[in-house]
Amino acid sequence: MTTPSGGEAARPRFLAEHFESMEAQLETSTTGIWLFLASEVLFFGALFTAYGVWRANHHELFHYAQHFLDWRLGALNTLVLISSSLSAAWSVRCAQLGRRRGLLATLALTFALAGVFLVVKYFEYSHKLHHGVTWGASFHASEEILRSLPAAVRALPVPEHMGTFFTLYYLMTGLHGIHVLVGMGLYVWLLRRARRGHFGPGYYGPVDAVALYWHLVDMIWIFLFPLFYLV
Amino acid sequence: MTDHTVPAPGHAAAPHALPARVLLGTAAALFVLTAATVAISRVNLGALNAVAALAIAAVKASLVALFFMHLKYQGRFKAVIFTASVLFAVLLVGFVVFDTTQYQPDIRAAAARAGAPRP
Amino acid sequence: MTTAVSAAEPAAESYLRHGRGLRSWLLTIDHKRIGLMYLGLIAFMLFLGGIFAMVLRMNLWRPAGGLVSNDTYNKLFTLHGAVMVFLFVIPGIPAALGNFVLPLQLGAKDVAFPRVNLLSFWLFALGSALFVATLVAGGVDTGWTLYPPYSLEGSRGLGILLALTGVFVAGFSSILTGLNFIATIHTMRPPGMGWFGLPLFLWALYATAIIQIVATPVLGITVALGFMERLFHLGLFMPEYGGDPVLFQHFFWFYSHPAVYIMILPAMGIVSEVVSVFSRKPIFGYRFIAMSSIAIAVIGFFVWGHHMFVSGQSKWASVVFSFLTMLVAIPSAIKTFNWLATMYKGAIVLRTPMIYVLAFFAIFGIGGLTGLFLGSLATDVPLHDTYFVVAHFHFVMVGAVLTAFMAGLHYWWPKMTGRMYSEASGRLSAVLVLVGFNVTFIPQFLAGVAGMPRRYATYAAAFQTNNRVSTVGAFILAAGLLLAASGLLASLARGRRAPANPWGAASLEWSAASPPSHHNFDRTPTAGDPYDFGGLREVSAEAGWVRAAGGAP
Repeated sequence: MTTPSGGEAARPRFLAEHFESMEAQLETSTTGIWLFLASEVLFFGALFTAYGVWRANHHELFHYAQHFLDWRLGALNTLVLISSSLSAAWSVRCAQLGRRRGLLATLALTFALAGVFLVVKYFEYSHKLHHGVTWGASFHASEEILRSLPAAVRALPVPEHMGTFFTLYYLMTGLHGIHVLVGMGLYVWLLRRARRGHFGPGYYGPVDAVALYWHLVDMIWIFLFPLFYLV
Repeated sequence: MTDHTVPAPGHAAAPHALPARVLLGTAAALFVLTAATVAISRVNLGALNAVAALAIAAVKASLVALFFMHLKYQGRFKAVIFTASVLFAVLLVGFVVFDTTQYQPDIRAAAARAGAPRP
Repeated sequence: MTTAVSAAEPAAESYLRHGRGLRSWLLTIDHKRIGLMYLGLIAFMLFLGGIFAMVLRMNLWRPAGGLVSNDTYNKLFTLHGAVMVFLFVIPGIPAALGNFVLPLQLGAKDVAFPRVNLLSFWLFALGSALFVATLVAGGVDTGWTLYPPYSLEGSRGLGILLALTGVFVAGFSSILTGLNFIATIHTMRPPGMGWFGLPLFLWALYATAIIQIVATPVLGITVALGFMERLFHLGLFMPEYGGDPVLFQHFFWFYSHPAVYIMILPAMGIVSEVVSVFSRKPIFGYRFIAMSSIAIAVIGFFVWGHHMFVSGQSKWASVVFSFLTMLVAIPSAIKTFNWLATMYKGAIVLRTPMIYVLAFFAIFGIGGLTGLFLGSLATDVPLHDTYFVVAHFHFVMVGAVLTAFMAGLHYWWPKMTGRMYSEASGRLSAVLVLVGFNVTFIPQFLAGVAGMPRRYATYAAAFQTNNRVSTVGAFILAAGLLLAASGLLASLARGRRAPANPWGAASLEWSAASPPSHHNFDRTPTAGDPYDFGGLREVSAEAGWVRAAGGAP
């Protein structure tokens, strides 16, 4: 905790000791969050590289294995995340305009949509794990799920490296899912603070920062959805 | 509970709040593009399918960055940070994928010579 | 703060005395205390890695080895490398000296995110502890690069998992430090300090931070994938599960080559400060030095493949990487010539930091030029995996970084502790380090060219002279470092009190008290040209230097 600097009544409540003004503090925190997002881009960038390596060498694997994923669930989750992003952006607007009820509603909505996303993801994962659609060397798809593939796909030979496709799938959607989970935690934190009336036109940095993070999570899913479910 | 009175900055309060129609319009565009990417993937274009999907995803991501993340309205530096990070990621993907497609035939040839199935 | 308080005796409220007890240190968010805690931890890691090195050198006294078992030797050189790289050289200058100096040079009260800074320290401490724990868990013998398939074989247990986790955790510490530094430099510059008014050390830290933010996440994901590959057989890196070990190398060097610039850029920043102050001359070519730091950081990302010329990378990628590697030499040369031009016709004062910097020039010159041999595709192939490589990277990563670190440590020591160290022992230590270092590693260049492979516990009898000379050199180097440490520590008890500005430097940290108060400055100072020494004159050794016409104290 910062040392209370005592008796200066004019000093805003949420202005940390080492800043001169709320504007300076906001500018610094926004810069910080963008730098953090830059490191996140590279974090996922490495995984996209692994994806690219396998895709470049094994087109047939991707055309075959994508049929194990249900594009309708992927599309549903895409819509859910876009809606949550809209809601997150709206929460920033509400904070900036000082609309407290709108802020609480959009924060709660963002949280709820993130929850829906994870519930859908849970059903996807559990269905696959149940049928032995697992990663790497442990891949052992059940007869049942193989029979459920479209006839044209069933006619193809099962390609090599099926497990690696699902390694990539679980790693990338899993790391993304962890980010969703962290985002939900952050929205709980924001909700608690918003209920105490912390945010308003003069102080909305945390709402903005979390929303930026949330948009990045949305953005990554925008790439994951077509790369795994569609093409 | 009322808002704690945080003295508003000197200029007009909430200078950056985005108009509602910008936010709604962005979301609408994202929904439409999601539908488009699904629709295009239903048509067999060969290798172009992946290109189209990536192109649409890039447009969607740009919309999110420009409007939802209000990059369009923020200082140049944030755009530089973000663009640079994407370019570095592209550098990594690009070089490694280029290299792996180059050496892959060598590996396959070596595996064939050894008589072993390609691991 | 009321002026009545700050007008009291400065020493009474220095940051060292602001708050007492262990808790006030371990949970501090004061960048100066965090810097000092980093310094302590990093010094310990240097000591630990140094012990490993001395055992290795003693084992190499005889061609057949025999001091330790070959297996132990492999584990020792792995830990020597990993501890030195990840826990000393990479965090050394930015986290320890940078944390202390950066806000002071900006005239700021702290870094942008003080709590993140504390988190960063504790992540680093945790990562370090995990590394040390590998010792207990049976050690790791893979070399610091942790290449699969060897490193992820099924027989491997806790050791490799601890090492991978240690790198992962320490990596986050590095990312957070970089993030903090960029945000601080961007948004907390004092009135009067534009971008080209920044001290060059800050330009160097800024460039370093770019690399920390962009490259370190890739290392983090790489070691995380290695961890999961070992436990869950993902099939990403291990050929037996369908994986591609070259992918690991691409990931690893996408970080670890730029990481070389995480090490050297802050070192270059210190050199830029010290060479100007102790030549009593404004730095020559300020903008070129500043921009070359950024250029090194950016170009440094385009060259990682030169580590992979002989490990399965395709020939076209190798050709491209070899060409790009030559580009990095340009900004490095720009810096070197500007430093030399700064010294030209300067009034050079041979205090300890300056002697270390002169040692840096000699060592960095050799290290940089031998790098060209290794960046060239044709000459790299015979030299790869010989002692030539070992000698080259020790010249750059150890010789250059260590001499600059020592220069910076002596330069800012009065500011950190409020005490002057003994010049006699400082100067002698600098000479011992320079001599010891060259005696250690020049014979390794020669052995490498003659074909002595690296990473073996034993060697052909023909290389015995090289190795014996090298071992003697290592003892001289160790003696120099121990002398420096004892000189600095002795100053805490017996050193004369340091004035605010003992060197006649013009950057802002020297306008704060020695040691600074908890808030660094009573009021935000106004920045001038950090290399304008005009008007500074030395009152006396006790009172230090002051500006003649009523400027800052």
